[in-house]
Amino acid sequence: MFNQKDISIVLSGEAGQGIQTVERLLLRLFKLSGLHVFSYSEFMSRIRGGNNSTEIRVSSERVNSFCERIDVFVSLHEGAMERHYDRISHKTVIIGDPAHIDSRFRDGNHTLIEIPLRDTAKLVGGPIFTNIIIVGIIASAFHLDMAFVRDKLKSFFTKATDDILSKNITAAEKGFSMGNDLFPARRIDLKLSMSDQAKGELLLNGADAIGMGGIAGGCNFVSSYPMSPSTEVLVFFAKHAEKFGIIVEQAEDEICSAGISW
Amino acid sequence: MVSGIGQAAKTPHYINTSFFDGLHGRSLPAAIAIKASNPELTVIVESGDGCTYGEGGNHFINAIRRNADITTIVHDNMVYGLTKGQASPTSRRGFTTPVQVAGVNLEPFNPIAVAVALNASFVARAFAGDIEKTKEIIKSAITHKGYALIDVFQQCVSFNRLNTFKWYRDHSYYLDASYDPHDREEAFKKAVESEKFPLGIIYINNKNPTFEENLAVYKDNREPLFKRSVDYRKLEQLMEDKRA
Repeated sequence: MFNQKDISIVLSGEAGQGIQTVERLLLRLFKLSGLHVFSYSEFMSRIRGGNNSTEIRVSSERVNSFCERIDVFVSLHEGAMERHYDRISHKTVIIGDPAHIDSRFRDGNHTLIEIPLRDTAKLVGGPIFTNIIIVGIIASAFHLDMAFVRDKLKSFFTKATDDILSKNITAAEKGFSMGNDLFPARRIDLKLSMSDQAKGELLLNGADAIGMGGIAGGCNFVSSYPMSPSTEVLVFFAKHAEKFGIIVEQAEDEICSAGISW
Repeated sequence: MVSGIGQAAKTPHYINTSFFDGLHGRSLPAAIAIKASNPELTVIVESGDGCTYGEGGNHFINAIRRNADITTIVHDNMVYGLTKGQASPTSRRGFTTPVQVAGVNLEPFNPIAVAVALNASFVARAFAGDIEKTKEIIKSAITHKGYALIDVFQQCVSFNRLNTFKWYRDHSYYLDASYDPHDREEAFKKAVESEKFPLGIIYINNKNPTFEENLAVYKDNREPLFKRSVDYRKLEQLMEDKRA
């Protein structure tokens, strides 16, 4: 079904639902499995509600850009498909709880993988675990090793209590086993060839790259008025300020931040 | 020295010193950064009431809150001089200009009360007609550790016919030796007097550390930033961590 070298996954959920956690986790799982990744997020200026989405391109070769095409669409709330309507084609594999699939796609021309995500999450411990069920489903579709996923979950959720960690692992296992049942039955196989080279690559986001470049260039004074997407750069510098001898100051307004970095 | 825009802001141009001209009203952020980058420097900001309290009002408030060990001298003539005579933030009610034809009807900005309200480290007012006493107040402000504000009453001979040299003299008096500037409530009472304005050191708060003292970069190393170099070994380690 997928004969291209890269697969584009879009996760679409509500702000505050934890899509960024899924994104970070999936990127790490793919990269450490030996696949190249590129991701791009879109978020509304909202703390909760609204629609946030992230596109992850996974490939056997290096990927350097966003793409319009969506190969796998994960719908995580009612209305999650609306903003991406034009990008979803009859070739897109649509994954989601039946309640989160837009009826316009039930026309027989689209590939729907309907999963009782909400009920399964409830069984595990609550709607918050939906995200990790999705991680399990995607890991299965890409033929990742479940023992490897389990291991990486442990190193990813270092601050979680034992109870939360074990529920996250259960959620991933449930997703993985649902994926193992559903994808072969629908003849969907997203296996990509993996390489040791990708495993050893740096996994960087734009803010990390800017921050590291800044340090390398001798930056020792940072001031900023927070707003996405630059906040991440400010956060990077604040985190590493003491270690690298950098003064970091949140300015009272943007003009101050320009003036104070004289 | 650091200055903004205006007549008073030209002061550093006549002094043999290193200086930086900030944007209009934006001299304070630059001054704070200069002090933070090299705490060994003595940093003085000089500008007018329009630049400091109007254009840069937000920076003025936040400079007091940051408490960098710098001194701000504000030449307060209660008028915009550079633009040839419009109301400034400290213009008195009723002051008429070609723009405020019916007289100013805004409450005058009270820098002393704002500074005391923000628990500033050093707050004083001087009168330019008294060079000796003004000099002493400026010396106290510069040697004080922490943020120091001096609002200097100084007439504009060209564009302010209301707040003249005589007006400032008639509307001010010196605090006497019995006045204790460490008492914040008393200082606030002095700050809101408006028939006659008190001159001298109105408030001193020595309790808060300075902005520079709070910076982690100087915890184990007193060297100014420009003398330091990048630790590439640590940076490499940081990058290596991104492979795992």
